[in-house]
Amino acid sequence: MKNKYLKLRRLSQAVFFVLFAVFLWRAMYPFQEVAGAKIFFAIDPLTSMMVALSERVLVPILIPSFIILGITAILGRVFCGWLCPMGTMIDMAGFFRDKFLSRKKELESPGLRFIKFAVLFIAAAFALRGIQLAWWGDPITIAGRFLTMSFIPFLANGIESLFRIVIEFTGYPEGLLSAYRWVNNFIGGLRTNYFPNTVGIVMLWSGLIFVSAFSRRFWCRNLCPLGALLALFSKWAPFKRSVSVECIDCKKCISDCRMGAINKDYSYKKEECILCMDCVYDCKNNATEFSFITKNPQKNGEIDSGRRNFLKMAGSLTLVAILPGCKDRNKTGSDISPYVEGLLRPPGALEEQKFIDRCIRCGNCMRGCPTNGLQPVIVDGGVRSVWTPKLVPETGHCEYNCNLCGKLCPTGAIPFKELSEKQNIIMGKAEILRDRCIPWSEDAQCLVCEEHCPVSDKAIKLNRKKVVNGVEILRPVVETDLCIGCGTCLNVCPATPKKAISIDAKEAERG
Amino acid sequence: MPLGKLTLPESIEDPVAIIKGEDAALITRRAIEALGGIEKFVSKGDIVVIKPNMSWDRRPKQAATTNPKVVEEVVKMCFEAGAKKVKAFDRPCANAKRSYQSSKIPRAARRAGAEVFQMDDWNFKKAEFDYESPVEGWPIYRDVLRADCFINIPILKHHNLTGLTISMKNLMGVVGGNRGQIHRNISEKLAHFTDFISPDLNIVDATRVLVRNGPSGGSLEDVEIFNTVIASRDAVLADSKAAVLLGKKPENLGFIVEGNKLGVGNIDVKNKNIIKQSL
Repeated sequence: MKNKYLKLRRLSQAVFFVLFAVFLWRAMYPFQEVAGAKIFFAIDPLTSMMVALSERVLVPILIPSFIILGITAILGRVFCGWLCPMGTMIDMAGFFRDKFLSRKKELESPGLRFIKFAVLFIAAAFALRGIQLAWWGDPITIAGRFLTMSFIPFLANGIESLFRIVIEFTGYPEGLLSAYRWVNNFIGGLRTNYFPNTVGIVMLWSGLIFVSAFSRRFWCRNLCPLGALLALFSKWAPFKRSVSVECIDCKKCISDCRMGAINKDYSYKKEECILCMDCVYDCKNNATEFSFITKNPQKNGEIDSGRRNFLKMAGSLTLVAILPGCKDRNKTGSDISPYVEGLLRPPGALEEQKFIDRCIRCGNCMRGCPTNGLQPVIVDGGVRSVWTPKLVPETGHCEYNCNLCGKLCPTGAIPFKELSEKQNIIMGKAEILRDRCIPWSEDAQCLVCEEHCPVSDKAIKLNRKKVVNGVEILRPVVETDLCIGCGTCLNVCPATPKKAISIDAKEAERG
Repeated sequence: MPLGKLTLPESIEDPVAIIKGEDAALITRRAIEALGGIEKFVSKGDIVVIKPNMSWDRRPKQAATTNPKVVEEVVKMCFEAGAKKVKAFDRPCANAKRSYQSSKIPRAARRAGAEVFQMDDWNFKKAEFDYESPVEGWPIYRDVLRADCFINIPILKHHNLTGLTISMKNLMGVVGGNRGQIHRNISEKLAHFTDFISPDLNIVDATRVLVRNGPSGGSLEDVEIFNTVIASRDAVLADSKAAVLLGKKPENLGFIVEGNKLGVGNIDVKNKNIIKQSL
């Protein structure tokens, strides 16, 4: 009976992790799920709190995160133990730690545990000053970003390459080609979006995993700001662990606790407990139980070692909140220009400063983009723009008949627009570089840009004519009033080595 | 099937069928029957590749892509002749996922039993000619070259560079590489591609025709109803007759002239080889 909860917890972790991965994998064109890829980010209280703080708005899309806070206030940090996909990955790492690491002793101190609160409060303080930093430390986002931008492309390309090598080696047998095409079709396309520079993304994720070498769930115990937020909410949870007098002092629960949350006298730090149920499972005499009402005589009272820390936290938060320096940055001049030179943002993205604060860098839009044109900013937008999406028309244009990025964005940094509305949003203006353009500079026939322009009535017109050796050469001209800057013309331009079109983001319509 | 070798002796004239009627599936069937039936092209156990035009993100009534009913009927007939497998694909100009879906062709072809998939960029084979060709070495999709029977199912429509796009131009959908660069001297290149790929049967969908603003169009005002299907083994001939249907002179269309000159097909044939029917 008592391992029922343990099994249930493992099942829950597996189910939510698989759902998380499948939702992210399926976040591609054509997108059919109702909630899908957004749901895990939408129920994340940390991002919703930081976005709310930094913008002084409550993003309706993130309201579901209150449910998680509510559950935490009643049951404690179940989210961390039963649901968090990053936590599940860390548990898997912990399994290997137990198996292969000879040094079993865990690094543990109250000071270390304090770091996560500090991280949370630093992030909150920045948010109050209008700078949203949750994307650096939020475990859901770190896990999602890693899966979306690095692991899934790696896996998909790996499967494709494997098939390709075998198919080429065996001389393209019909049966194998059919099998390959079936697999490809079944999982919705192996040629998924690819991102050239994800070193930082992988490093951040693997950092969370590898700190498990110091102790099991090191990240969750000591560093995770979401864990800290949930710890605060779990403080008065009525659902408690109790140890009855039946306890035979075997200390197994103390050494087994992955969060190091059980004290020497068998009391526990409630805000550190993630309800993994290991201690219930371990308890030889069935002395440990979790319940709302404690019936049996208790071995000890609950010791509130976390209270002092908590009070410190609450105090400093209040201090930060009432700091007179908390300015409403909507009223003050912004140090960031409304656009960044050469940086094309997704269609209708919020104006630059709001955009980089609202965006949690989950990577959904970049995964969904049907042309692979949305790519993460690495250095070209300044430090605060890191991993936000930009459109790279050389790789892929903004598809005229697609509004998936707005549909997938969990925070509304790219607001959802109906297709007919999105098709009229200006992302920039194209310009033909006549010194490179084939009809302009070489007097040769080419009309690829005009042919591909998706705007009805064509924003590129072939209305300049020149007769060369008796042949009429048509030269393209951009009709600036019609151009929406989608980058299709740039993407298809056959001029080599450099494209004969550039797109200027200056006139982009934002927000 | 020798590739890149002129296979059409001048004395042989393939027939062309021009069938008119409101039922797209029926006129497709009649056109193939007029040429001697599908069994003339597809044998039992054959792997057949069909190449409809799915090049743009357009719905069927916008007439930038092949009529799904025509495609479905051809797939059905292939299986009636005992084909082992029918594959359908295209390399669209616009986004592939979008174009496939909007054209409604994948659904229709799958309904009839065909395998529809997107082309893989690593599955091309270089074209080899036994004469000098401007497209020597261009990548051509391997499934096309290895098929027992390759059926080309273009749509007839206006094209602002080549005048019209029909059978010969439709073959660009199985050609890889940077296709933008084919646009220089496109007529000659199309003739050479036609010779190398040498479709076994061309079925031109002229049920509704984009008469202006091709090849992508978009406006229904540019679409006219012709209710016609033209079929021939000879791509040049099919294109020539399709041009006449729109009131254009084949002699003014570069790719037809080049195809005729190269000898991959005939710009015209004797009257008895032209089968006209109205249903």
